[in-house]
Amino acid sequence: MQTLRHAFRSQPQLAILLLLIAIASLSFDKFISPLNLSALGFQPALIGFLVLGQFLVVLTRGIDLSQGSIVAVAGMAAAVAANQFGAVPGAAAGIAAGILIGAVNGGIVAWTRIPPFVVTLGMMGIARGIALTVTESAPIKLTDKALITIAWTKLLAVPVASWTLLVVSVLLAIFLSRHIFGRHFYAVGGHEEHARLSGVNSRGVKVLAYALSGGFCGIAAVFLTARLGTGHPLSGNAWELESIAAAIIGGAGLLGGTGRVLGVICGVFILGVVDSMINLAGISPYLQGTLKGCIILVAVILSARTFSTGAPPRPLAKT
Amino acid sequence: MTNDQRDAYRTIIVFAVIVVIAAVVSSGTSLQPGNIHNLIQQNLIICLLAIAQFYVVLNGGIDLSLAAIAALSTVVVVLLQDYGLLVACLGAIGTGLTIGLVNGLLVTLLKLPAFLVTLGTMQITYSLAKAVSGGGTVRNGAAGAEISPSLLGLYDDAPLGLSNALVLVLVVIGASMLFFRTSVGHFLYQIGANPRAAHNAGIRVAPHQVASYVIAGGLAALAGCLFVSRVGYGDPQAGGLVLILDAIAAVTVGGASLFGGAGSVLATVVGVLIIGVVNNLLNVIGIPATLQPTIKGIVILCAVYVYTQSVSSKGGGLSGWLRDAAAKFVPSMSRRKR
Repeated sequence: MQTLRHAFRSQPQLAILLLLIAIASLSFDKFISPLNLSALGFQPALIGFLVLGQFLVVLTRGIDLSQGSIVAVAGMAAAVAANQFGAVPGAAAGIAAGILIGAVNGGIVAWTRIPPFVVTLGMMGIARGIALTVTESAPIKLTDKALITIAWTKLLAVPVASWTLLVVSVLLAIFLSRHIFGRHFYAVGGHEEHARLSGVNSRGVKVLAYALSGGFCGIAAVFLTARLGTGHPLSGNAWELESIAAAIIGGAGLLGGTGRVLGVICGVFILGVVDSMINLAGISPYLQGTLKGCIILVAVILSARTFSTGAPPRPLAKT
Repeated sequence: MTNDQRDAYRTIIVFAVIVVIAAVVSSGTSLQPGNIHNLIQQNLIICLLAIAQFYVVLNGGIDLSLAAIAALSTVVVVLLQDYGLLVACLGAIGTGLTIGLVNGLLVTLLKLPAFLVTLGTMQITYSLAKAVSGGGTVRNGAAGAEISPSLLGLYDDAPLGLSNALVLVLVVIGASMLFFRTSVGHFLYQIGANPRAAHNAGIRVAPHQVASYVIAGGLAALAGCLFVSRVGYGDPQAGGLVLILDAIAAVTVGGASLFGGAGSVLATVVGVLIIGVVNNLLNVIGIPATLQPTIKGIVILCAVYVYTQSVSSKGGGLSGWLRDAAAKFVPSMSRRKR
């Protein structure tokens, strides 16, 4: 009992996730079915990339509302480039488009006094307009077979997207907790002025945070486009809401400087399991959106009050 | 002349400049009475949404759910046609007021950022609109009644070009301008400028903030009723991203601060007209309609950038920035010396 309580205190998101999975598999027979598990692996994995980016941005006391629109632009870029030059240039183009838009966000946030939510709200419109105009509002069909095959491949019954997410999050976790520049993200979010006076390049940190957020959107967009076989200018609509919700549920405080990669990844899968449960309960698809929105809002309210104040990042090991 | 009146007049000067540019580019056609009439009729919905947004922005918040409230209201007002026009409109506006109340309570009681709460309620409201309408557009009441002709006729021309819709919006503008002359209106400015100081001065901050979200929700629902009148059906996706951005762009171009405490109703209305003229101008030049969100995003970023760069902490917008730029060359124009 003591160890259980300790586990809950140190990893509340992981505990909640396991609890939810237990409840879901007891209440719904189909929850454990391979089809459902595979769906559960893929969709949250896409949002998972966005959450990693959102987490980095929130860590520096910002917010990225343009993620959904970046997914749309990056998806179009990936489809166009893959049709022309093949799978690898296609994926690279999608990710590069994301990084580029993210870097513009970061540059504006770092060098002006416009609040981050206004910058990224503006970029939400700008990027969506670009995606709509480039394609004349029509989806682009992906003809490159290699990219589609990769997106549908499974290793050990788990989609490639989920494995990629695993690798990327482990790398990011190591970067944030062990690398000096990773620690700077926490420093800037904790108190920007103190960090800057201590010699932290706070502008560089911000630009990198938003650029990485855009790049992660690009990765998600490549997988989405390949999976669907089309680049759609309206894809990624409202994904930023889910990524923000998952980041907050995952313990990233909106005031910056708190949270861990494991927490926010658990946050995504908590939302994924809830989503799957709503689905299996057989509620009308339109009401699902309402219900899911309410659950997200309630979860954000609860976790903003309980989690974000506690669990500061572990201090660097003394050398 | 107060600071805010001065800002309003400066915004009008910017508007005049843009009108002249539009007139030159369109070689005079934009100034024909028919064109001006169209411009006003087209922007009544955005005008209501912008005024609604202004109420919230004034106290330092932002409401991203307004366009969604308008969309839900279009569905509600059509579905309630069986019970008569009055009940339908009251039902729609009641829905808007309720969602506004939820927004206000969440923002003030839980101390969550306004853009986050309203982003959530935006999604909830859009899904609710789809759930109520069954996914598509609705053209008849729940029991099959036609949409009332008096609702559909709101935009019909009347003497002096004053359609009922225009009169309705003018009444809202007038009432809002009067509202901001009352003590409660002044409190909203105080709260926006400095909530803590307002609290210390004995103003009850939270109820006023909640009230501004409720008013905004009601006005957005009214905009939804006008939308039905204009297009003839209820649409759960009415407006979409462009409508949200248009209203925020109008408010920021009108010189209201997204940090709260500055701006005026009149300047917001002029901001709507500026956005309207710019929209027409883009049409004339031949910019594709799909690029609209991009241009609105850039306009918002520029307007807010200009605001953050203006010398004075209160008031600003494009006009204030121009004045500050001019002050570098003509010292007597400096606003600091006044």
